[in-house]
Amino acid sequence: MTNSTADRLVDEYLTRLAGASQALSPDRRTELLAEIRGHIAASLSGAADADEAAVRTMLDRIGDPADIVAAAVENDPPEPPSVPGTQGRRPGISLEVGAVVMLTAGSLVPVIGWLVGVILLWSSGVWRRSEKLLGTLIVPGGPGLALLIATLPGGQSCSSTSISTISGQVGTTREACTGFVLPPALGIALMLFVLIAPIVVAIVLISRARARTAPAHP
Amino acid sequence: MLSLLTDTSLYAFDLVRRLSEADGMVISEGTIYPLLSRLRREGWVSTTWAESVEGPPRRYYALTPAGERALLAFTADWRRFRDAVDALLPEEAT
Repeated sequence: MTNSTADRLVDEYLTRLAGASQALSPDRRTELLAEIRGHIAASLSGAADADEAAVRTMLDRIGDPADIVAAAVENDPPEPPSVPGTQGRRPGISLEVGAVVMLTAGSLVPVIGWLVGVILLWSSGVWRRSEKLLGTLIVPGGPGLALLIATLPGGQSCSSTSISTISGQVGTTREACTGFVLPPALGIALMLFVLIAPIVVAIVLISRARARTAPAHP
Repeated sequence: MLSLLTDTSLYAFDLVRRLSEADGMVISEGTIYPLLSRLRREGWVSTTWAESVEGPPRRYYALTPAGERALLAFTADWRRFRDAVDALLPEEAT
C-alpha cells in the first residue's frame, strides 16, 4: 500500500499547498494543512491499493492548492474591526443600560435608586430631550416606589366618635375618614400601569440607544 | 453544508464527500475545509474529536443552536428567493 509513487505525489501536493498557503495566518495555515493531510489519509485508508491513478484522482478531487487557499482567504474573518481607531471610537451603551436599570430595578431602593437613574438618563447624550422626559415622568419614583406605596398598610384611616346623650343612649355616630380609596378595578389597573409602563419605556429607551450607537459613527 | 448536519454529527471526511457528491454542486473537496473552519469560528458548528478504529482521531461536526437558527433563516430566505425567481422565469420564457 505504501507505494513510493503515491507517496511522492502526495508529498508534492502537500508541498504545493504549503507554498500557496503562506498568505494565510500561521494558525489558519497549520489548521488547513492538517485538515487536508487528514483528508488524504482518510481517502487512502479506504482504498486497499493506492496506485498512481487512484492517488491522482483523489488529489484532483481535493482540488488545486491555489483554489483551496483562495477559499481560505475568502472565509477568513474580516480583520478591519480590529484596526486601531475604529475599536476605540465605538461607543458603548453601558451608561444608558445603567440609567435604565436604575430607573426600573434600582427604584426598589426608595427615591435614591430612581434619582441616580434620572441623573444617568439626563447625562447621556444618546437620547433626545423628549425621550429623557418620558423616562423621567413614567413614572416618578419608578415602579419600585409605587410598589412600596402599595404595600404600605391602609390607604384610608377612619375614626369614629360617638356622642352619647344623658339617658345613655347613643345619639349619633360620627365617622371621619381621611385619605381616599380607589375602586378596586381602577386601583389594579393603575398598579399594572405603574409597573408595566416604566418597563415598556425602558425597552424603548434601550432599543433607541442601541440603534443610535450601532453605526460606526456616533 | 449546515443542512447535512441537521439530525446528526458527521465526520469531516464523510461530510466533505457528501457535499462534493451532491448533484449540481461542483466543488473541490479541499475548499470545503476552509468553509468548515469558518462555520466553527462563527459558532454555527461544534466539533468533537473521537478515536477511530483505523487511523488518527477524527473530528466530528454537529450543528449548534446558533447554526440551526442560521439554517432556518437561510432556508426561509432561499425559498423566498427561489419563488421570486420561479415567478419571474415563465414570463421571460414565453
